[in-house]
Amino acid sequence: MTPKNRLKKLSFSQHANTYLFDESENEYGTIKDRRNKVIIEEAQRLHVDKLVLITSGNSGYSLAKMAQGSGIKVVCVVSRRLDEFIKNILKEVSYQVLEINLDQKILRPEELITIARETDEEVIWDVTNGYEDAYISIIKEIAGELKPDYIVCPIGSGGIFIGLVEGARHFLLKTKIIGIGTNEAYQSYADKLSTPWTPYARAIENAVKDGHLVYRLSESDIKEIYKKYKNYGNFEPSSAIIFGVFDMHSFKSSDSVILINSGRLVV
Amino acid sequence: MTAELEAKLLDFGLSQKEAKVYISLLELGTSLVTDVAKKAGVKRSTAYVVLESLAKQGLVSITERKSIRLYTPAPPERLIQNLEERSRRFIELVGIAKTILPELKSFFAGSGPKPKIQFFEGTEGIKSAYEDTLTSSEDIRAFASIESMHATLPGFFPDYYRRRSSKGIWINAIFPDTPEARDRIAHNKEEKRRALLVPADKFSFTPEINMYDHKVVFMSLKEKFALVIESEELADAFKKVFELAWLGAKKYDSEK
Repeated sequence: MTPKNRLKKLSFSQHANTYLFDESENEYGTIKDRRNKVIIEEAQRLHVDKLVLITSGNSGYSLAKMAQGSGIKVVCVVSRRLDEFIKNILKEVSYQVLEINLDQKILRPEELITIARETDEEVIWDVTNGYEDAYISIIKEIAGELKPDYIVCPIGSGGIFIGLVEGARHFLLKTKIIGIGTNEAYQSYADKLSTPWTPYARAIENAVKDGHLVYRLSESDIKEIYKKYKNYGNFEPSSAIIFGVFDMHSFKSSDSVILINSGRLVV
Repeated sequence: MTAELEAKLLDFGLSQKEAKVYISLLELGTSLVTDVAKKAGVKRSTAYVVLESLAKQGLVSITERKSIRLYTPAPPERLIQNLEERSRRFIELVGIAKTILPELKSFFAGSGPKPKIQFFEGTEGIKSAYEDTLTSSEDIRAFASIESMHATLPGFFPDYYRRRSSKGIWINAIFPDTPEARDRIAHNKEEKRRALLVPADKFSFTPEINMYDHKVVFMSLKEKFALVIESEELADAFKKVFELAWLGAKKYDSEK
């Protein structure tokens, strides 16, 4: 899944040891490909008929594409406010797209399963959250090449951030994970990162107690960062946000830092 | 024969009285509660309660004729339908468990440093130790006895091998040379295993010892417990002991 040359050195004059780990090169252009691959394998193993998830685009697209040919149906639950263009692409690749006012309701797994259910016989999984272990493989790939002082990733619900924290713990690395997110819970220019609720809240709290870091940016900063850095790779606003770390955190000149590009604009 | 059938129905989730009453009703066909109670050998009041419970499970239907309640058994196929429904529900529960795992783990991680030594009892405990091996970030090194493993946890292994392979975790294993071990190593490729056989008359053993990451796992498959020790120093030493054994085992393996 990961090409050998995924780790690229970035030429920032003041940050000599900065690398980019590029997940936009995954098959469907997103870091979520990793968890979606695990989800499909598990669903096939246990003969699950249907998967349902809340998505703002990339994750649902990746899951639906991976499910093609497996016989597993993918139902994307999207916000009514989601761009029509994205909805239409999701409709093309997934079994069903259900529009819900997600601003007013936090849907728990049982509710999502009920919404997606068409017959009593169906076995349905909500896969909006969980499976963050799939991101541990990123740490394994990075650790094979270098032991960074910091790894920087975008933080939305926190699944990627927690997966990387667990990975660092698993491989006994001293690496600190830095999550860069938005202040906006409902709608952000970094559209993949706004989330009104997350099951990872407590885990994020614990990670911060262990010395990992989370910074949250204003909308104007996110726009500014995207404009400034989008050409450093194949980014969208939700992935380019990682460059905000240079305004938020003071690195030592000897620090090695890996920025994770979580994906390109797929839909 | 009836006793055997009753025992099977217990496995399917029926209580002993439900099993007796259902089998009696199957034999009688549509009946009054008094007749069912007599046939099943239970009190009439008990039969009422049990028949209502069976009706809730769809195994009995109730009709009233001239104010008299009659009970009719549902065809036995309904049992299979019930089991299929339950199995579907359980797989959905697996999915829900996977989604609440982040929340559960956050409590676990917040409860302080993980113990360096974990002791697991019983066959379920041994399964927990095997599950831990699936977290390995490297090839597992193992001394193991296939027949002990399969005898201790019947039905666990084909799925475990599949899950280990799907995670890309290889195992390097030294087995006593037995027919069971020979059967197993025929699946080495698909089960991501490199194995060497050593003469069972000289090196027969029943426990399993696994080494991976910073862990050494001892599994006593006869006394039914497992010990997971997390220590960089011990794991390193045991891995070296294994490498030495591997070199020795190669000699015997080539003599097969």
